[in-house]
Amino acid sequence: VLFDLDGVVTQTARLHAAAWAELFDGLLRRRAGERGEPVQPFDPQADYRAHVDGKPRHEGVRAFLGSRGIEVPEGDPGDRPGVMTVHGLGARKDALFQRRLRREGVAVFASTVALVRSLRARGVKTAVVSSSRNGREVLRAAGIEDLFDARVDGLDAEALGLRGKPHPDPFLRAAGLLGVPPGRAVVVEDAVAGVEAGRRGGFGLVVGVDRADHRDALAAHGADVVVADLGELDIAGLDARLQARRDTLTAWRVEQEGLDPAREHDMESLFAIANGYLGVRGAPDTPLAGSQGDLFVAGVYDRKHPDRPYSELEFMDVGREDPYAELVSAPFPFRLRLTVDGLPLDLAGTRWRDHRRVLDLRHGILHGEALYEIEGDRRVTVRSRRCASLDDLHLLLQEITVCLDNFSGTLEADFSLDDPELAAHHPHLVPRPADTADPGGEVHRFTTGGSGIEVCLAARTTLAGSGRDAVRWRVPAAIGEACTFRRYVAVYTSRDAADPHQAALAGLRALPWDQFETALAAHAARWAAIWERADIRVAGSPATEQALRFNAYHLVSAADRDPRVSVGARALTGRAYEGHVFWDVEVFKFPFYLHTAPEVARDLLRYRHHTLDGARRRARELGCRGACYAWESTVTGDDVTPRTIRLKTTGTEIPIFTGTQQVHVTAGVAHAVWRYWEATADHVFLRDVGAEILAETARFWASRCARGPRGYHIRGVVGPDEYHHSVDDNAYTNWMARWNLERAVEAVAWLRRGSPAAWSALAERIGLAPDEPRAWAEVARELHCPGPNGRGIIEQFAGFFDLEAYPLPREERFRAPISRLFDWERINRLQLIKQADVLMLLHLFPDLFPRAVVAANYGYYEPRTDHGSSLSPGIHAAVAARLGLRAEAERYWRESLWLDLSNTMGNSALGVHAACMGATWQALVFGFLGVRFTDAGPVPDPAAAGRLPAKWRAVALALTWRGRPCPVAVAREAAP
Amino acid sequence: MSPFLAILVPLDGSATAARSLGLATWLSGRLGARLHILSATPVERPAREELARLRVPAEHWPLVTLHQAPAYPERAILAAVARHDARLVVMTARGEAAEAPPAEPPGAPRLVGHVARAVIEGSPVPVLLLPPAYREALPWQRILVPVSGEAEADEALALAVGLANALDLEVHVAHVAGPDAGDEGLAARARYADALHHEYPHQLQEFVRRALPHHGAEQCRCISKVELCHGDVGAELLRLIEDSRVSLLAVGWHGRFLSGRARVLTYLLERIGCPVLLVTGAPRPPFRLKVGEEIQ
Repeated sequence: VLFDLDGVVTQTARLHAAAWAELFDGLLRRRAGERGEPVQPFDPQADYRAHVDGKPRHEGVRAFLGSRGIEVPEGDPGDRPGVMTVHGLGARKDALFQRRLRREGVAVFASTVALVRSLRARGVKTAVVSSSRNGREVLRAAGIEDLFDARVDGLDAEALGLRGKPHPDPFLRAAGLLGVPPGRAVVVEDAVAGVEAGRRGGFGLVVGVDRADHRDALAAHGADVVVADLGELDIAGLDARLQARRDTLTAWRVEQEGLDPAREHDMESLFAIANGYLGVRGAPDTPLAGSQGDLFVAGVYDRKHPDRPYSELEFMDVGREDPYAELVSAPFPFRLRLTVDGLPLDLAGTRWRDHRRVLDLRHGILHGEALYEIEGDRRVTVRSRRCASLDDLHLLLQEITVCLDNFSGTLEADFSLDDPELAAHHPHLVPRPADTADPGGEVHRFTTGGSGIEVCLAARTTLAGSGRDAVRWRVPAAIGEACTFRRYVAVYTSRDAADPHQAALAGLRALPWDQFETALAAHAARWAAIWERADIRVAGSPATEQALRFNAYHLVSAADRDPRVSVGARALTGRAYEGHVFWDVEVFKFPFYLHTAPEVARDLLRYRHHTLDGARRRARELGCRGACYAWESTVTGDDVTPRTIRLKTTGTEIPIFTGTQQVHVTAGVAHAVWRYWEATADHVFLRDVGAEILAETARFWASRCARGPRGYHIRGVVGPDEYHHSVDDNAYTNWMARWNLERAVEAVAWLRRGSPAAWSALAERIGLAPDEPRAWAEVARELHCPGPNGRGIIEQFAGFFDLEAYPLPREERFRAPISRLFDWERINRLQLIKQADVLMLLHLFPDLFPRAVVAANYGYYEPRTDHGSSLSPGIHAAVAARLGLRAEAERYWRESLWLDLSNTMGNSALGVHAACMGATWQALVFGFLGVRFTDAGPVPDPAAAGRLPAKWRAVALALTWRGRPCPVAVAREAAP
Repeated sequence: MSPFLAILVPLDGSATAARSLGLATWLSGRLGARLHILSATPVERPAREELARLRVPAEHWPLVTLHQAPAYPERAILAAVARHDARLVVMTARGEAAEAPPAEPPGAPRLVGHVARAVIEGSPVPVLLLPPAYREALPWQRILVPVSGEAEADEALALAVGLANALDLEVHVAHVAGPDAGDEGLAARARYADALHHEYPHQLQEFVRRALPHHGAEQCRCISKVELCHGDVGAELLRLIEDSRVSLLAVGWHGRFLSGRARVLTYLLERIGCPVLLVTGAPRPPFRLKVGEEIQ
């Protein structure tokens, strides 16, 4: 525990204040006399707190005189006391203080001394930290020279070149002397600059001691707890608070310090906030010129724009005329322009000193903080928080607090959402006239050019205590005063309301300002309820907990309850994959939703039901019956996969086979329907929604399978491994299709038996003949599903074993050379695969083959896989974990777990990899823990404890099964 | 706003070095930048006389500050950069040595003289280097910037965009994924690259935009082409320079002439007729993402 000296241990603040007053008042009197102005003396309360408290004396001289507009030369540390330089005046203050110290002596705070003694008796190391060069002398005068294990004072700071508070250097030095990392240390301070130093240093807990009635200021500058006296704290309480704080500091948040403009787009993706209905990338409140602070609204798609920014200057899709081809980006809804005394405060210039973003995963709130230094050594702190409400999906909340730390000035804040480069940034949007009757509010209306969807953003902003709303503010800001602005933004589209403009205005009108905290609390409460079911505790590895929570945060944020939309490949965090919906949803993300939020899982399946017509159209386009889900779909279910792309430089056209051949997605949807029914026993869903999906997809497979001399075959497909096209009898596809056909037969029989009316209605609606399910059963029975050969290996597709061998160089694993994608025909002839294919089958159906077969296939395919997809490592981790290949499982899982947080792919700037997050979750639950479901609920593999990654002591989570969250715990020891 | 407030051009008295004056004068005039001419001359002359001798057009004289000395060795040039707060040095790859080549130290390249080499390796500001086969072609039309994902290349692109906006030029950006692409560049950034149409278009754009965080869309409009090539890096860049009639090649580099990617630079300097803007990277600002081991 690190204690500040003056004001915490000893009662020297009064002596210091008196010495400062004596120093400055003489100077101020002389200056006033020379200018014929009235004297404004040093205020031992306000000026002391604002400018000199806790700081080295020369910094105090600079700060106070700067606040009065007085400039004196720096001088040098050898200047004699009283010389009119920063150092000379500092020396004079020191002499005045020492004189008072000798004359008046120094008292201690008995409660502090008692706490220190008690801590040391328990073996807790302590240090005293002071900016004062007289630190040792004060300790001696107080008779507590030996009370602490270590001490750092102004003389040490000078000798070591440590910066003074609010820089954390002295505390970091003290922690270093004690051999304790900052995260495990407590700072106890009474000065605002001191608590700020503690917070900036990343200390585990910062305790503010309020000796001067400035509790709010201490809290605002970083004190985690504020007490009037240390007698209020005992060791147990301190320890509990430290542990709780450490928990919050680490595993429940993701923090970024500093600012690397080149990584801003990466950070925007990681720090995106979303609620399933909308998502906003995590750009700073005052964005850089190149920031991409997109707002995405689920379901708002438009025709692909030919010349948008970030467009494919090199690549051109051919034949993409769908009006719902790509997710639309709307303007950044948290935009702010700030100036103080006419000087802009933003992250583009040279005025910012510290910057941090903190994503509070527990509450779903993004915090921002920036410290600026403007001309004249003036400091401004700007703090912000924002969220996309989970309680009201149309609502965004933002709070900005500006504090002029050591001066008074004029603050201007412009909250206008006008994007100066709207056409370039958001070319899908055509601005429309909006109601501007309310001068305190702001409304922006747009229509998408191709799809004709109206998007409306309405905003109101207030300054706390002003009693009014305005878009632009110009206010006087007093020294140390917190100016807090709050903004509501309502977002509606014509997909949600007949008149989104009025709906947005009505939404805003319904929100009085005194409900701001209530709205935030309601949002946080929703998150709390989600974490009850979705959190995973990993004893022994806070970093793993953090990454798992980060992944869960993004998966939860991605999914809306609107059955007209699903989750895009990069969720609502980026433009890559254009917001398209792939097989990822049902095969990779779905299990997470199914076992943490089954109602969300149901709505994702309802999206597939809602888009059945699109799937039917695709089946017809492919010459088949029933429903074949699009490889890439948006809101209609029509396939939006390009058929070819043309390289502009060479004119070369490269065919895209996935749109017409990657039909296994259809069985993936059916698989999810069945799993949902199994996990929830939601018979109403199966009756009204699921059965139709199963029947129509089975019908597709029955027509897609071709009869050969020895049974049925599925020819001309692309499996999960997209390096090979036009292949026959892909094992994954065929097994999935058979399963789809069999489950459809079961479902229809169940429906006929239990709900004859529903069966009749379905049969009539889709023209299902009574004997058609028999035909499905026959196709399923006679469909060629490749099995293990003599070595136990399942051939990925017919002829794979005959392809040219390709010894995959180590450096190409996880890092396919770019030529791989251009040389698609050559790759098609090699035994080189992009991602888990046969292994995907073995992952989804762990009991289909015995362990020896799984091991043989892992051993065969793993070395042939270059992992050209983020979906691959998680599945390899799952299979390896089940096989007990602990090192490999761990390696793949780490790759998958930290894929976005460590930007492993180098493309997180384009959005987070939501499906990879789902695969990571599956690898943990079904791989490492080996969870199976029985009627009683989830049961982990008895061998799971032995598979836990190194350093993990235990894992605990809940899996929802048949309507209730079931605890699952696996511990390496008896009890963690 | 001009990216270069002051330009410095060192002349060693040779006709070869004097070839840089035309370009430097043109740039200074177009950018409104002060032009510091370091003229090595055995006899100091009145400024007007010396400028006339150097054939600096009289209308440019108001923007010119002339400095004369018997010689300007590399240290004097670098000191002048600091003294005059020059933001750009314009010079030929070789000076008088090109006219009467002395014995070269072993291993040194013949196409860059020792003074030029010392300046480009030691200069804190970008150097506009005229290759031996330089052909003056003014006004400039377009700049080619090879990008690699490295900080130096990002810096070169940012500077090129600033220059293009000031001079109304086009910028072509190219990434060449060479067969021996290392840990940097699109090839490295494209791990798990997925299908061609999913990732690469956006990724290529991101490759460009990450270099320009402080540039808005309007400023980036000068980027008219972004190309992804694969093959030998030097040969591909040479092809692009010739095919697109590039006026200026802007490259980021590490500041060591004989190491690593400088091989590509050497290859190009031997063959191209356009000047090369050499840009070293600025240090990245402090940045820390507290995840993984950072929080353990």
